[in-house]
Amino acid sequence: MTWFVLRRLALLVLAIFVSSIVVFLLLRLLPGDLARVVGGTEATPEQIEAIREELGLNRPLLVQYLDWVGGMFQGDFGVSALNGETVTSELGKKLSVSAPLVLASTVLSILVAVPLGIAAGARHRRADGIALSAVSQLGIALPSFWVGLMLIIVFAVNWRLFPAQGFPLDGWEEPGAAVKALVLPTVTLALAQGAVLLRFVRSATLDVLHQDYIRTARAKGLTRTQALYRHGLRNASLPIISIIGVQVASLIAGIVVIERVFTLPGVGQMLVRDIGSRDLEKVQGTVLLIAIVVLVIGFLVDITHRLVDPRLRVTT
Amino acid sequence: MRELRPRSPRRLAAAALAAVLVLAACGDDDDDDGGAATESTAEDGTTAPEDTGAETTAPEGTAAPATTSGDTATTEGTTDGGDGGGEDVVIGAVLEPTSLDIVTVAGAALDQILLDNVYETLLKANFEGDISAGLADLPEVSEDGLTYTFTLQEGVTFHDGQPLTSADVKWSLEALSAEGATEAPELAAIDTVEAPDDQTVVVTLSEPDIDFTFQLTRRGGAVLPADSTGLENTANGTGPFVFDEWNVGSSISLTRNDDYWGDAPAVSGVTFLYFTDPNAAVNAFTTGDVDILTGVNTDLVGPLQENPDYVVNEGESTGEFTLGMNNSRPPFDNPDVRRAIRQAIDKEAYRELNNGFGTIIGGPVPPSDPWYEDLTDVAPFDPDAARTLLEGAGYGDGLDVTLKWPNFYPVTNAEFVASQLEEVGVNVTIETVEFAVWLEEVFTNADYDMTAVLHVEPRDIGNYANPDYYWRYDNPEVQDLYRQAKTSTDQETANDLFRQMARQVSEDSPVDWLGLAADLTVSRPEVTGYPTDNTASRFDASGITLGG
Repeated sequence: MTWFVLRRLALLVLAIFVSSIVVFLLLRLLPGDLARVVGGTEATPEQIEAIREELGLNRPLLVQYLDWVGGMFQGDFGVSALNGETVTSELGKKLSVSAPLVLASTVLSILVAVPLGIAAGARHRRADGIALSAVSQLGIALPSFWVGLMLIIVFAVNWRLFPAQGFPLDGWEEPGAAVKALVLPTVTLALAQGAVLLRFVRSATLDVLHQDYIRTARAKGLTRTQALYRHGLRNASLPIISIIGVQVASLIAGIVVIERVFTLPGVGQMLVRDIGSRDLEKVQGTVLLIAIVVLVIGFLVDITHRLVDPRLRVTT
Repeated sequence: MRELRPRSPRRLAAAALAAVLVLAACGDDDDDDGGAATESTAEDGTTAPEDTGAETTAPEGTAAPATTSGDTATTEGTTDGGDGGGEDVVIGAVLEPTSLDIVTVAGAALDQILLDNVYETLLKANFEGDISAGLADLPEVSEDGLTYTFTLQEGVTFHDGQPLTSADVKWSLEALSAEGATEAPELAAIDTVEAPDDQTVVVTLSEPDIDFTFQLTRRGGAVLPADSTGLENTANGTGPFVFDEWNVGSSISLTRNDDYWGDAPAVSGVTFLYFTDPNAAVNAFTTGDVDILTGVNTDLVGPLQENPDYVVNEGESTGEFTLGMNNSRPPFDNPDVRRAIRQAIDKEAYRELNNGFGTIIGGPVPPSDPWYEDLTDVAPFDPDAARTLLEGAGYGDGLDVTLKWPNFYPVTNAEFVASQLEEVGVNVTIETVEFAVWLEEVFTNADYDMTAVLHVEPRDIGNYANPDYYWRYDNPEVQDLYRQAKTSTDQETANDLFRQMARQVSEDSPVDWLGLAADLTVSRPEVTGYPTDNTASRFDASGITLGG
C-alpha cells in the first residue's frame, strides 16, 4: 500500500509538471498577442513594440516559462498583465460563483437522474419506463442555452420569481440573494447533466439485471426489486460514479455557456475573456491551478478506492 | 442572440464529444490502474478551457464593436445612496474594459466610463465637436499656431485631496504622448510642455496641428496626478465621480465626488454592469435591474420601442462599419474592382437588415465631423455598373475572395455582404476570426482579401493618409491633402481640405462603408439627463436624475 501511494504520488507530480508545459506551450500557439490587444485598432507598430517590451513578451520562451514556474514555488501563480489582479484572488472570487453552481447542479442531477434511471432500467418494457427514456433523450437534445432562455422568460421575466440574470455585486454577503441568483442556472445545468446521467444509469441497471448473480439471488427467493437493490445497485454504482466524475470535469465547458446566458461572473466567463485578450500569464495560472485541483482529487479518489475496494488491492 | 445561436450547439457538441472521449479512455483504464485514469481526466481539464474559449471570445479593450460582446453581471437594481442623498444609477453596457490604464491600454470601453466621470479633460467638446473650456480655459494660440497657453481652473482637487497644478497637466501630456501610450499618434505634434507657474501650461508644437485642441477634449487631454502609478486597477481624477470598485468580469462602480469643483451630480453613484449576452442585457432592463441600457441590440429593440413605459433613444455615433479591402494585392489593388464591390452592395438593404437603424454614408466621414459632406452619390448601388467594372477588370467570369469576419459581429451581416456580391459574380468565403487573431492577421500583417470592422473614433480620416494602415491604401494626393489640412492654422481652410480629401478617398474606394452604427439606449421616462450620442465611447453620467 505504501509503495502504491508513493508511486501514485510520483505520478501526480509528473502529471502536474507535464500539464504546466502543455498549458504553457499550447497557449503560445494561439495567434495574436496581448500587446496588440492592448494597442487596439489605432496602434502604430512602434507603439506595439514598446508595449511588448514593457510587458516582457519579448523574453525568450524558456525564460518566461521558468519565471512562471519559479513564481509558483513561491505561491505566485501569476498576475494579470492587464489589471494587476492575481490569479489566486480572482479565481477565488469566480469560484464563489462557479463552484456552488457546479456542485449544486451535480447533486441535483444525481438526485433526479439516479432514481429515475434505475426506474427506467427496471421498467424498460413498460410505458412509464419508455416515457422516461424518451424524456431523457429530449433533455440531451435540447441545447442548454435555449433551456436557460426559456426558464428566464417563464420564471424571471413573467413570474419574477428569480432574477433574470446576474449575481449580487456583494457576492455571498446576502446568501438569500446569491442562492436565488443561482437557482435557474443550476436547474439548466442539472437538466443537461441529468439527462445524460439518466441514460447511463438506465443502461447500467439493464446490464446488471441480466447478470448471473441477479438470477442466483432471485433463485434464492428474492423478488426482482429486492435483488436489484441488494446486489445490483452496488455493482451498477461503480461505472455510474466514474461517469459522474467525468461529467463534473466536462462541466467547465457547460459553465461557459450557462454563465453567458445568465451573465454570471464565474470561471467560464473569466477564461473566455482572458483568452480573448491574450492575458496568457493569467490564463495559464488559472488553468494549471484547476488542473492541479483535478489531479489532486483524482489522486485522493484513487487512494480511497484502494482503501475501500479490497479487489483492487489483490490484483496489483 | 444572433451570434450565440449558431455557435452554442457546436460548443455543446464538442463538450459532449469530449465527455465521450474521456469516458472511453477512462473505461479502459479504470479497471486495472487508477493512475492512468486520472491522468486522462487531467489532460481534459487543462486543454478544454482553451478549446472552448478560443472560439467564443469577445473583443476586449479596443476601439471595437458597439453592438455585441463584452462582459457580465448582477441583480440588485437601484440601491440607497451616500451622504448627499440621491440614489445610485445602474447602467448596462456592452464592453468591459480589460484594464483601467488610460495611458497605455486602448479601448472605447475605458473612455466610456472614465472620461468625464472620473478623469476630466483639459478641454470639452459636444458631439458636434464645438470645443469649450474643461479643466483649462480655451487656450491662447500664437499666430504661427505653435504655442498654446492654457490657464487652469481654480480650486480643482484630485480625489485624493491633492490640488490640481500645472505639473500634473505637464506630466499627463508627456505620459499620454510617450512611446507606447495610446495617444502617441494623436499628440505627435507636441514638442515641449512647460509649467511656468501653478496655473499655467504652455505647450509648444513642432508643427501646427488643427486637431490639437480636439484631441485635448478626448483621452489625449485627460489629466492625472503627476507620477501616477498602478493605473491598471485604480483611478484618481478630478471628475464628478470617484472610482470605487471594479468587480472584474461584472461591474465597475463610481461614487459621487462631494468635493467636486463643478456642480455635483444628483445621483449618489453609478454602477456600470457589463453584459456579454444581448438578451440578458434586455432582460436585466425589463426586470428593473438596470436603469439605463446602452448598446441595445438592434434585433431586440422592437418590443422595447412598442412599450409605452420605456424611452428608446436612437443616438448618432461616429462608428463607421467599414468593409476593408486589401489594396496591396489582387484583385483589390485595382480601383475598379473596389468600386464594383461598393456598387454591388445595397446600403439601404443593409440598413433594413439592421431593422432600419444606422445612417448611410458614402465616405470616411460621419455627419458629426466638421468636414462632413454627403458622398452617397459617388458610388451608388448599381449591380449592372459593378458587373461592367468587373468585366473590364478581367473578372467577367467571376472572382473568389475571402472575407475575414471578426466573430463578435453578427455573421448575418457577413452573409448579407456575401449574397450581394454573389449577384455580381464575386464568390465570398466567410472566415470568422477571433479579435486577437484579427489584430494579428488582418490589422498587423494585412494577410486578407476583405474584412470588416467598426471604426468608432471621431475624426479618424487620418487612417486613409497612412499607407501602412491595414487597408494598405496609398494615394500620395490624399496624403498631401491630409498633411496640408492637418497643419493648417485656420479651421475653415482645414475643413475644405479635409472635404476634398474625403471626396478623393470616396472616389478611390479603398474600402466600402456599410453604414454608420446606430447608438441605441433605453430607459424609463423618469430617468433623464444621460447622453444619447456615441454612448459606447463616452458616457457622462454627471447629469443623470432618476426622477420620482
